[in-house]
Amino acid sequence: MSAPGALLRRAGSRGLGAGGAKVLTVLGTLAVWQLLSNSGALAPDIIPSPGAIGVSLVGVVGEPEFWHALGLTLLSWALGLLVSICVAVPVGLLLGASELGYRSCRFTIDFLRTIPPVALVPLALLLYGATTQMKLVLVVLGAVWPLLLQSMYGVHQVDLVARETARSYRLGPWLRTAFVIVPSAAPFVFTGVRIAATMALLLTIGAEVIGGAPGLGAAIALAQTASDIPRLFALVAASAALGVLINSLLARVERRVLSWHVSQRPTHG
Amino acid sequence: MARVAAAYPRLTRRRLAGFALELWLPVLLFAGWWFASSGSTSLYFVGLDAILGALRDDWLGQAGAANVLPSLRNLAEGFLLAALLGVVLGALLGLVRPLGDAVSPIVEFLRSVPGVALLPIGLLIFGIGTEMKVSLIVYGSVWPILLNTIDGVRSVDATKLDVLRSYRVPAHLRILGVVLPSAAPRIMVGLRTSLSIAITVIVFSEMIGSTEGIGYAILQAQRNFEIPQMWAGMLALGVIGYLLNIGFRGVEQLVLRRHRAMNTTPGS
Amino acid sequence: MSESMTDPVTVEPAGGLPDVVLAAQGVSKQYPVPNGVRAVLDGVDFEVVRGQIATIVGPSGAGKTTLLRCMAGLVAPSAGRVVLDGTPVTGPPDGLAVVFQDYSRSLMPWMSVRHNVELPLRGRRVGKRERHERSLAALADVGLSGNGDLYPWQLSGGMQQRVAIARALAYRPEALLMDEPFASVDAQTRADLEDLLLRLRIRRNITIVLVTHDIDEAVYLGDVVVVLGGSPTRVEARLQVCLGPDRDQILTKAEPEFLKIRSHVLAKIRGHRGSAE
Repeated sequence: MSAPGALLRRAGSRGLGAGGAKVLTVLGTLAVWQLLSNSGALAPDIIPSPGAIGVSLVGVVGEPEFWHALGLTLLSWALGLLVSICVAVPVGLLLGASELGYRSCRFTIDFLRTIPPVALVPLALLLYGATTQMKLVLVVLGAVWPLLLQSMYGVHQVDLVARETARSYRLGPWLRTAFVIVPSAAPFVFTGVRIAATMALLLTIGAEVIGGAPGLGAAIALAQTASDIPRLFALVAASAALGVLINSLLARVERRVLSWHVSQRPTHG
Repeated sequence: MARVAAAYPRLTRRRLAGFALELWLPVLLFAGWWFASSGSTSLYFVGLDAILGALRDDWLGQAGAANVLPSLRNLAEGFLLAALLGVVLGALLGLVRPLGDAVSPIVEFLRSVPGVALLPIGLLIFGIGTEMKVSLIVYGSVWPILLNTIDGVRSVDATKLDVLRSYRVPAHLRILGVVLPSAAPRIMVGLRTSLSIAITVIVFSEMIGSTEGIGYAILQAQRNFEIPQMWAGMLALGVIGYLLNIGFRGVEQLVLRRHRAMNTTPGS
Repeated sequence: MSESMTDPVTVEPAGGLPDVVLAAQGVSKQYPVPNGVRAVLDGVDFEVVRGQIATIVGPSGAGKTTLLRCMAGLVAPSAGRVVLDGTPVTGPPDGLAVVFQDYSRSLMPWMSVRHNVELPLRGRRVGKRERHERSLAALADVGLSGNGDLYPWQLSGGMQQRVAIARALAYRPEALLMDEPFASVDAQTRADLEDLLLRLRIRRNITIVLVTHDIDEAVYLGDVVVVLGGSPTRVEARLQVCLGPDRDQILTKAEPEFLKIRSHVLAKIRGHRGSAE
């Protein structure tokens, strides 16, 4: 594996230059923002300076209530996502495997997935009140669709030659599923997981902001009603950081699981 | 029609069978819903007939227009703005590599903000009203378009670019004539994702920061315990969203028609 | 309808009747189209004797792949049948292994080379130790010893096709069916792979049915060359190739016998195309 290793090392040294540009851009943007705030061009009670936000952020991070709220959000997110995956992926794989199933369900799933899950917030509020359970139900109702669709689509995309090879060697259904269909569909399922993860976060925080369920979103709404603007921005930044963290975590898992896939191979010159 | 049917008997039968295959489940589910809910005394799961009645009264015709049109207008405005911004910025960031790379951490951070968390900030900056909703839609929907445009312009076939460079075709012609059309499928994917996001954003922005629109109507119905109206609203939203998606797919087919024809090998 | 180039008598073992492994008997195939049917194959008849290499050659679009797929049991003929060791074929039979043209899509990219070779053996419930032994032996036979832990995409095209051949060898089929296996590699690699097949035939005494559009390849490899042609496709000729089992890319292809058979095949293919237009 020396050739790819050398390639990576070279990219790394070149990356120091590109990484430097990124850091500079970020710092530069923050500096310009701070200057605009200082000059009074940005009203501090509408868009606070990065400095004020930073101070508030430090304060927020020190509060146990913040971590408690964050934990609640993460819990609903993770649990909801897990349940969605366990329900939608096997069903999607099964449905996608049969032409009859695929075509029968396509219209229904296509229709149901265009209902923005946010529209279900009032219903969920009615049924469960502003609770964690409400958040879970909402997340699952929203996150199953991309998983279902991507799983069905993934099974459909299994390479014809691969399938014929399996058939010509008379591989039984168990072997075929485990060694041909599932790995083939895996990249698509993973895309579904990424989409579902983003949607799950959106729905969790949405349920908290709009429905008042406990969590990060509720803290954000609270900061707005209390007119603590730097705190509001700090909390929103925290939610963005959460999103970035989740995305990078998933990307790392994907790189491991799909190391064999075209998209993950070291690119040859 | 009869002559066509006679000439292609198998084809028409197959078409009909195809329709039946795609529609039996939705029809069955709908009928099941009707019968399961017909004698319902539950407060929350009312009969389908009541829902359909509320649908007819509040969501079709005059009353419906009052609820739906403002939403659609804001949606269109926000979506088109996001599309313009996304494609132009995406082309810029995609083609000028150093710029795109340098700005990427900011882009990554900004797009990870869950749109709904921006609602309070939107209210803060713009207050209740159209501007807030449109701005929020633009912010929420621009990212898939931006990222997909960047991806699309960066993956233009290298051979084509070499040809253009060796014939010394000027930059603006290169971009308009080859790069953007090449990137069109990717951009369409981004637009499609953005459409769903835009619909989501308009709904929740109307739930909090508005006195009109679909989201507002649904939440109001819930607050007033007008349960059939609430369900009717969700149903209407589903139909509208579905129709918008179909409409978009039609547009997509048109725009990509030449692209598809270009890329099919002859005799295949 | 068919002719034999030399004697009408085929090469016979001392026992008298040839040991036929695989036979196509009146195989016909039609496909429905909007206004009727399209006949691709019409009454294809030929036999493959154990230990032989039978090459099937014909112009592109002649239905060679369809014929191979009928023989492999992947598709059912509209009329006629395929017989493997006396049993009619109804679906992929236990005694055949297929090597496809598109090796990159036939190998599983998420499994190592060795696991790819062992995969069909799992289906046969072969034990782990024996799977391992067989795959090592097969990889050695195709010249890929030591590459077992690499992934297919890390290998060149020719090497990937060798993996597919090793997979078929480890399976120990009655006969090996190959669908234009060397069409997607460069000329030098093709020559190497052709010689590999010849060596394997000597070393392992396997029976091979190979479909190709390359006339040189068909004559170089074959003990029997089946020429397909016409529309719908029929067997135009069945030619014995008496060049012996030891062949060489340069010497054999310069022999008068080779050139004679080659031009005969070419004439058959060309002649029919001329009359069709």
